[in-house]
Amino acid sequence: MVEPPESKIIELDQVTKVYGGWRTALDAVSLTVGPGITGLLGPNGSGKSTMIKSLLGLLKFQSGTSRVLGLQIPDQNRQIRDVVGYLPEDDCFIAGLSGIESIRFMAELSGMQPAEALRRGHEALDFADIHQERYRNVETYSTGMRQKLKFAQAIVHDPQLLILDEPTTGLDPEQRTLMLRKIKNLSQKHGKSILISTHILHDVRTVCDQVVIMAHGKIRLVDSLENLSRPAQAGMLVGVNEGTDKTVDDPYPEARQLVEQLAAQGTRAEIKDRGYVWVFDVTAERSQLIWDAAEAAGIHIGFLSSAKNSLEEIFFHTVKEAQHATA
Amino acid sequence: MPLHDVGYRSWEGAKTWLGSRWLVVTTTGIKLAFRSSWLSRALVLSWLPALILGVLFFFYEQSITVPDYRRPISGLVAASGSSSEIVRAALQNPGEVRHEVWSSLLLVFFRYPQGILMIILMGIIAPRLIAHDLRNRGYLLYFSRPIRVSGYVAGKALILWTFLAMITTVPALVLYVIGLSLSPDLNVIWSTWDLPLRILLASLVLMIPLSSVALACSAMTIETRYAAFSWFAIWVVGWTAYSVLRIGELAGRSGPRRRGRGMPEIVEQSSWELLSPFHVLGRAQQYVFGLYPDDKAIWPYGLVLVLVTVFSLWFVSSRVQARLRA
Repeated sequence: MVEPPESKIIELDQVTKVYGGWRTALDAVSLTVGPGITGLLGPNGSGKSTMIKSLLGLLKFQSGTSRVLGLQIPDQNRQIRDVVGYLPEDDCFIAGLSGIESIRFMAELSGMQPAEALRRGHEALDFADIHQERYRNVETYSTGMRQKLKFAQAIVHDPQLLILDEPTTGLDPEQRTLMLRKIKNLSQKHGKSILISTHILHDVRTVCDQVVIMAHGKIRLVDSLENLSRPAQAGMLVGVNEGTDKTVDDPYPEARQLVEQLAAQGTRAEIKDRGYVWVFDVTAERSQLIWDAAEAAGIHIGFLSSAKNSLEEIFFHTVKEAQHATA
Repeated sequence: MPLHDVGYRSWEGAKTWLGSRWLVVTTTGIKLAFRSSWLSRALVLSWLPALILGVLFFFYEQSITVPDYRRPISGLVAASGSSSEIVRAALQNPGEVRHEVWSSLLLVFFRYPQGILMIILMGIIAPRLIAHDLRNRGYLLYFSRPIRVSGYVAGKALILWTFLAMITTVPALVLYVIGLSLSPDLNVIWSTWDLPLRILLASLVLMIPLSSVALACSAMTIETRYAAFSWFAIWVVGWTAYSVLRIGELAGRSGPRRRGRGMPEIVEQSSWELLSPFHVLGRAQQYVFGLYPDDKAIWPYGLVLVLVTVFSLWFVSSRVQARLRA
């Protein structure tokens, strides 16, 4: 594994960005992002895109200081863009060029000699799973192809930091899994630091090492995914095989029966989202009592694991808190 | 999966100078523009006037030693808008007014065939340059790399400069060389040494404002057809407004009309010309070739060109920056 060059990849200190003198997009944001994959979460209008554009030096902020890979914004904007790969959220392409020509063009803009840019462009397209389509005009590409092309242009110059804005948008489930695998591969095997801005919490759960949640122009939460997943109270999560006798009033009868059986045995449990049962204060070593309760209730267990906090819950809770604080 | 898939590989190599990256915008833009078959045809067409003028240069130089050629050549010199003194001298002793005659022929070359061709050529190339990037959000890709907005605009302008040079500067310099090589008189070098410099200056006077306005038209909209329409409209409306007002001016003039010899736009002058970009450029080029009658009166034309250029460049930059902020 390649070691990243900086321990602090992104540093923001009291960065404030106000649009038109009245709309605060970034409100005294202070944040330090280390190596690895960082998920940037937040509802629409929370300031994610503004922060990303500020990191690339595309937007000027009113106050505060920020550094990317040790380079100062705005004095070293161009040096920053030379070592950062950016995958924009918007559908964007350079009209008239084929896939390989686009990537070669971007590589040349990053300072590669034309022949080297062409060679490297083919490598990047191979990695992004764009095959013979690379010789077609980009205007004929599907959304998914364009997404892969944007990914290829972001990595063609071998950047130290990748900023990926909604990298899996427009990809089918299989391609999405492959894309996430590639992102993880870039971080784990090639030492790339990656900042992913996304709305898809599953993507964050799959690849990210740490999570940053933004809302109303402020950083509301920064923590590792491991810490966030750790529940405040130990427990096991149980998924039961559902029967056919569910009703509107009783959507998860099997789960309810298991909870009642566990309660009869003196173990506290409750039904969570999608019929999962959270059994409190039970560790994996004592999971036999859950199997016993299920057998007694005549229920089949389909899934059993140590309970984790749901990222969805954390996200919604954080955003709701931010709304209350702002109100 | 490719046959020789190597997965992701790191890259270490020497990079080009940070300050020169915007030139990639130019080289790629030129390659893209050449894909238009219309452009290739226009470029071929643009060299035809140079051939015709090459023949004129030949006969003019021959007229120094062959008096039979002097009368038809002096007629052509008169038609180019030269003063009666020059026309008379071209008839009696052509070698004495070589500089003036060459300048007049080059001015005619810049002003009429190339002037009109350049408007058409810009109408083919320029509209898509920025409009396409705005429509397809290509600017996000450009500015994710180490180039500034000024570099982006300069890169796009240089595409237009290249094509303008191909239809004006290069053929004009070739004409000059043809003139030199066909002249039986060695004094030709001494008497015309400044013309290449004037050709370069006249090209700059043409290229800078023209490319700026063309890019402004392109940056105004995301639809290339509207950009092209606005580009042609600038010339047509300007020319029409000038013509109408000029006709009114002449009609209201008391006494008999002075009939100038040669091209009326070159010989006569009217303040309404400032409304027509074609005439403003013509006057500026006339000045560059040393054929403008009153050097002190050129400043309004220069001022118009500077203001139009500055405003156009500011407009292009602000349009691109506004998109980045959005």
